[in-house]
Amino acid sequence: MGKNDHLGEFEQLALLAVLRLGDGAYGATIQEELDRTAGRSSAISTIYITLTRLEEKGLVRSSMEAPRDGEDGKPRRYFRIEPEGVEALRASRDTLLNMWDGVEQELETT
Amino acid sequence: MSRPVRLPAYARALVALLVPDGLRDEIARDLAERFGAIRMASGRVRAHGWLWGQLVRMRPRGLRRITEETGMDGTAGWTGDVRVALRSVRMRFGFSATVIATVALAVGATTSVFSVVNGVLLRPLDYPEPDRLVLIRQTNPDWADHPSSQLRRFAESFPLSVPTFFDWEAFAAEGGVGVEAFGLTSDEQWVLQTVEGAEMVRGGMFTSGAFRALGVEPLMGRYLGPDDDRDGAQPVVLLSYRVWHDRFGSDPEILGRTLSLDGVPHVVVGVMPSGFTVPRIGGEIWTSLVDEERDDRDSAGYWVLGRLADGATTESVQADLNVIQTRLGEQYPEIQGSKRARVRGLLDEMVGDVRATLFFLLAAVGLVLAIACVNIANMLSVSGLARRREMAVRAALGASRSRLVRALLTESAVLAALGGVAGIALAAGSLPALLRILPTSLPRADEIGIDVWVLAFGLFVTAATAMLVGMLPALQAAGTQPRQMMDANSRGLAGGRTGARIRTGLVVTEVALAFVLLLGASLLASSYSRLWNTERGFYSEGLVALYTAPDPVTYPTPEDGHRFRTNLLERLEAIPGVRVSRTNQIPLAGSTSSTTYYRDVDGEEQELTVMISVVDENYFELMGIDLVEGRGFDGSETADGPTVGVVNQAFVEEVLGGAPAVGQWIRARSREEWAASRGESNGANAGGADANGADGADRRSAAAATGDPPPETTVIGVARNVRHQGLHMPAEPKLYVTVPQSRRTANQWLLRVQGDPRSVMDLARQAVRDVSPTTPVRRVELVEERIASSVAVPRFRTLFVVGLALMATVLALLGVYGVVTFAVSQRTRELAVRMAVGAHPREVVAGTLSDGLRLAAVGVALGVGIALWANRAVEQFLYEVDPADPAVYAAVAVLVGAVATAASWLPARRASRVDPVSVLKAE
Repeated sequence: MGKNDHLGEFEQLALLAVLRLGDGAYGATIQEELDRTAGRSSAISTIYITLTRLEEKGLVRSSMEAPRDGEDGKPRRYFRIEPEGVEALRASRDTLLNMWDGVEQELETT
Repeated sequence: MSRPVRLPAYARALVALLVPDGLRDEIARDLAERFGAIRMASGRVRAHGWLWGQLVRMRPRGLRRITEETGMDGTAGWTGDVRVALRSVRMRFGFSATVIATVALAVGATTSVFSVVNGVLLRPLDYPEPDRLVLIRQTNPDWADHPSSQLRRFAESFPLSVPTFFDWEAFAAEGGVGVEAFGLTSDEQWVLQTVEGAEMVRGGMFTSGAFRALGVEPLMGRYLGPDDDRDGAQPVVLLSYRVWHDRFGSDPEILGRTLSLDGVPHVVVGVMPSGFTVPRIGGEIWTSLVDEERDDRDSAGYWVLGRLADGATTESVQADLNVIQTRLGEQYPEIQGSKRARVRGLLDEMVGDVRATLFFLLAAVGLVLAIACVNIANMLSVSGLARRREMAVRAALGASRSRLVRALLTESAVLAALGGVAGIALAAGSLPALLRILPTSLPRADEIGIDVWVLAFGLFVTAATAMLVGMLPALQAAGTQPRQMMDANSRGLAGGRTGARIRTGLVVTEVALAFVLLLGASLLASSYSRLWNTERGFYSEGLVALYTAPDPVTYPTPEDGHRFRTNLLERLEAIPGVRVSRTNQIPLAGSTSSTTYYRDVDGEEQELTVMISVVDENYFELMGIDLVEGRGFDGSETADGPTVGVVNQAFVEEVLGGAPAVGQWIRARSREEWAASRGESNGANAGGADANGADGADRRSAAAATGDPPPETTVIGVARNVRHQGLHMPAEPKLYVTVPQSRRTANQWLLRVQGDPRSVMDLARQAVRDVSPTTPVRRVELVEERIASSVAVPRFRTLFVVGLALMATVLALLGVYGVVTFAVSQRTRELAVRMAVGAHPREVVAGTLSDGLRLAAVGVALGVGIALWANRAVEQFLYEVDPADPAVYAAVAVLVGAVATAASWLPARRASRVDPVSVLKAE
């Protein structure tokens, strides 16, 4: 990943969702995770477009696998985070923490 | 999660409408799962509201792009790339078709030539362990510089006599020679008498070792054994599968039957398996040794076919044989004096002559392939620039650069693969046509075909093409930032100077290679034209040659033969519009007969080798050979009268040193021979080296026995030089003598025809049949066609390279056109500004043309360099043409310049018609 490439906000959220879900990350669960944890209703199409883009950048990978709970047997497309994805998240967090550093007090008081 | 939830019908319909194939199921299932969960938790109304929100926010175009790019439409990885590439190929149909056709032609031509190289040179011979098969003959270093071209040829390769070979065989039996088996071979033609009449059959005569060396078991019966080699053994014959099948109806009782070959009964002892043939000789039937001169050390007419023993090499066997050769040289100094053995691999001997030509053609076609690759690389590069926006969009959508490079490589690979497959199909499809135009003298032509090696070669060439043509556009894409791609005016994606320089370099290379090919083609063409238009010394047009010798069973004695020829002459002369003559050797028809004569110079006996033509009194006039001095024959020459001869100009110059020839005399026998023959009671005939018959031999020896001086031939005239051994071989000293005064027979008939010579060919055959139904015609042919077939290899080489050069020229023309056109399109604004400030369209045209010419000039300069470096390759194929002839170089350079001008003309005109107002407004 190039130096100038950084993650957009939704990309970060999607990556974090995949990371949190571990083995169970697929379209519906990622969407539910975003809804529940991030408190926002995201479009399923946007999730797919974003994750595909992240996959092309090498931050996640996807594979067709049999569903774990065996609901109807058809394979689903599961996403998993790549080490580069973890690294990108870490870089984004660092950037944000650096930016937050010293201004949290101010936000508290305003 | 409990049981699966179904999406409502409206949602299913909208998903089908909005979501592309590759993602549809996945998204529908996600939506259904979430819809079910929300309905359970929050009720139907909330769930439907949520679902509508999702459907409204569906982004069909975004989804379509990601499915297309990643090949998610059911596939992933490289198959997806191929799918996308195929779609792109379809979308740019005209462009793709051009690329595919170019690749197909280049790969097809290369594969075709390789199929010939493979069949003739590379495919092993169809015998067990073919690498161990060798061909052995003798050499005579003493003749290396002999003035007679025939003897010079013998210096390199001299046939063996039967006694010499039996000496070798005896030596080998003591373990002196590193061969497993070896035996004599010679090619023969016989008259096969059957119930329907007589026909010619081709084949060869062998001693048993030759068949043992080949190592192929017969299908039925046995092959030749050592007993068959003995003098006086019953002649036996082996049949090819085809003869057994076609002529004898696969008769299972064939073994033991007797065939009459030239009137000699041969017993059939075996049938060889289907597909078997004898190397070099081919033919249909193979017999044991039947040779009346088998004890004559002087009668040499055989090659030796052998199989190396384990661990032996051609060199070691040659050294082994030279041990016995040295002994033979001491024993028979006259005949074996300095002769040596020469051992070569069989395949080498069979294909040696054409190896250089075939590799030359392969190199030439490789050049065309290279030019085609350069051209396609250029086309793809330019088209890559045209697709900057497409690339930019894909990059903006998140496609990484490596992804784009992969996509572009896949695309060029798909183009190359389609072209390559079409090319291989083209090569396979055009094979019958290729086989028809190949020279008939090409050895192993029946081995040419599309086998697994040819296929592998075609695929390899295709893969190499894909790599070569895909590299440049891919590198362009790899080196470009997405933002540069987006900017329509940017010179990014190698639209800038570097890119232009690369493309110019490619076109210069292309022009240089085309120049090299055009130059080669010009040199070959001018060489061929010189060869074909060489002064032959006689008129070959309208001349028909008929070869027939009286059947030995019906016409056993010389008198019978004479009767046959007199009758045939009568019949032939009765054909309207035909004049007839006969000889023992028609010029440029492949047969040469030389002999030794003697003359006294200042009391010393001088030996001279002359070609000897036996002709009748009509010959000079019928052939159109002018007499420059004296007279020709008039029919008054008789066997008993004084022997007279006509010589050619080369004889006058080389033998007589330019002295007046008429009245000079030469004799057929040396003083020594003369003295020896006087000592014998019945003088043996010792004149020439070869003996095909004995028209006047007995009369001559009768004269010798009575004590007369040796027969002397008085020169009565000088004829103009005639090319005899080949169009490229200068005339050699030649003596013409008449039929009644020669012991050689003249069985080659010449028919000078008024009108279409083909019309009399059947009549000539009929004439032979009328005279003797049992005498077969060996051949009837047009002399002109015979001569043409003697230069078939150079003609084929020339035509082929000319064809390739034309292809290369067209490709180079397209290349120059492409680069100049692109340069013009890039400079539209500049040109508009120049015209707006008053530049004349003529200047614009001139400027553009000079761009094209500059390319051509650099290309030609490079081409001249390559050509001067490589002209050795073509030198060996040239006749009286200098491979560095400045005139040819200049002519080809002018031609290339003209082509470049033509290629720049259209873009130049387009440039001059730029409308400044509209262009600048658009900017």
